Amino acid sequence: MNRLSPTMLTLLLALITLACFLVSLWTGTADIAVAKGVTDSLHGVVSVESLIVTDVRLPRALLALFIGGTLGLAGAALQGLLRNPLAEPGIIGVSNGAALGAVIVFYFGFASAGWFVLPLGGLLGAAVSVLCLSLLVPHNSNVLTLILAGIAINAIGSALIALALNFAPSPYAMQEIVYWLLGSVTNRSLHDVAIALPFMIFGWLLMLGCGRFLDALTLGEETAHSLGFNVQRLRWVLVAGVAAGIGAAVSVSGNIGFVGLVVPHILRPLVGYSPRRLLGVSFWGGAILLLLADITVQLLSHGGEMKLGVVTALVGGPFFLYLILRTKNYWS
Amino acid sequence: MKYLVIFLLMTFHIAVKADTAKPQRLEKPQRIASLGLCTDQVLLMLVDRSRIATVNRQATNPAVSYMAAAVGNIPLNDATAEEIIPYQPDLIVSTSFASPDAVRMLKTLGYRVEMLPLPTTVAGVREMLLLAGKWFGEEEKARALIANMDRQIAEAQARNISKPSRRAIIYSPNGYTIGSDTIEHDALQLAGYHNLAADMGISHFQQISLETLVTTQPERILIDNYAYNQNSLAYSYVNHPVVKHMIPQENRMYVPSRLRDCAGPQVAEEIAWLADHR
Repeated sequence: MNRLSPTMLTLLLALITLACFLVSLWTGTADIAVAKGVTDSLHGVVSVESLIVTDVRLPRALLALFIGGTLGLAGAALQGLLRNPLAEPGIIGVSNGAALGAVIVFYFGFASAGWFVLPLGGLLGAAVSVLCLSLLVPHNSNVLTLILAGIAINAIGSALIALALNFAPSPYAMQEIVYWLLGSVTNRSLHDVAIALPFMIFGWLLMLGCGRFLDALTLGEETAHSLGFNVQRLRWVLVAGVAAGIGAAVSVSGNIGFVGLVVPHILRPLVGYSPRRLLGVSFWGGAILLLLADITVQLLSHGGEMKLGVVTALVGGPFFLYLILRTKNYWS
Repeated sequence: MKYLVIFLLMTFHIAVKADTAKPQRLEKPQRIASLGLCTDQVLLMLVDRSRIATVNRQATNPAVSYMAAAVGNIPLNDATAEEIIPYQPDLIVSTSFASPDAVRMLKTLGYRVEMLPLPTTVAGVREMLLLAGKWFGEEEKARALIANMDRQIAEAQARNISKPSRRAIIYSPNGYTIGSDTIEHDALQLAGYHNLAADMGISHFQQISLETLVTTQPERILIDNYAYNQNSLAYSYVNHPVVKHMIPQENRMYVPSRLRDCAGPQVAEEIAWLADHR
């Protein structure tokens, strides 16, 4: 098999992402001339088309791209860091932790204190759940321990989300648990993009900067240490990157599962099983998957009321089962 | 055990019947209980406070209750049968919004429970008031309320006659709009608006996306004001920037919820408010 060079693969994935992004701009409930909308927006003309393209579809497509990328990247980073093929922000409970932080900030009115408070709430929630996980699971423990601890943290997270929504002053809060547990980018605005993006970029840089460390880590902690990596410090850098990225992403979209699981697994053979090379391509892979999931949601349900997590779980759930069956020699 | 419970219920049933079997069917009910916001308001409009045994807790919430100021020290309930029984009401009024279990239990126990219809037109409000007036023995007051309603609507229409008709759409939290076969639709038409949701073939309530909202190109958007300052995603529809960009602020109208939560005589005030803001 002719293997694509990593640069070519990245370029190809970025081009597919761009294509999906454009398709996403062309998808929606209203039947409009999108090209006219784009030219109107560029010339500052307010028309039905320009309003729908810039205010409704652009933020949706941008968020699907950035959040999908964050989820893919974080999945690849966590799988490398924990050296565990089943690690994923949703499965190990980080996403639910982020959702809990965002729920507390959003429903109890703290978000009005400043633009950064909502993503910061998500970040803190994600950080707390990662800390709980690292306290519960000793390093180099087996696959099962991590997944079981993740199940527990997930359960506590979703229960606390339900509890917080129960006490929220808004009469609509309780029914919105679906959004927080399954995720959606419908009805988001450019404001949501603007508040989440700085935190997400910060997270991307931290995670992408740890590529060589992850490569070294495949040889074991001892070896990584002897190669000159400060294992303890870099572990924290990666955890901070995951918390910042996932925290910001979840705070504007809810918990979208399985993207970080599926994407790195599909792409890993294509980059020669290098955790470092996997990081960049998983970003684009995640973006593609989430854009396609959102396009599916828009086509299947008018108004986008179906949640993104439904689509990603329908793809990711069977994939998760397949992974468990394939790796079952780990278990016994 | 099961038979014991049924036996106890039956004896209680008989006891209650014996207690309330005074010759008062022809008189005005003296201890009226209401289970829900919509019956609370009609009751408070038609009947003297001394004859009201209890109203629903919602009646005191000024955001949703037109008659909040009139509740005074009337005891409040949360529409459970257990709370109502101690008042020994001689008439219980409710709507189909109430828990069917509570209503069934109160009926089984021998109480007189009357279900108030929920009108879908302004004409239906008049019929509802006459019916409630008959139950409460306050037909005179009901007729006076209807005359007042009709006068309010006629005056509002007369003083706004020179204004053009407006193409409007109702947009509520979670993206719900209201189409034909509803009192809101009737009120919009009487206030001189053209309901764009009805044009789209929508009857009753239906969710529409922000994109669909933009394509209707309304001259006015009517937004439900309930819980407006409370944070929730339901408001990501009505607070979305596209709503602000598609229509200037003065044409985004926030109808007070207490005027439109229940179909009652307050619909006349809603029509006047809508016509004055046309």
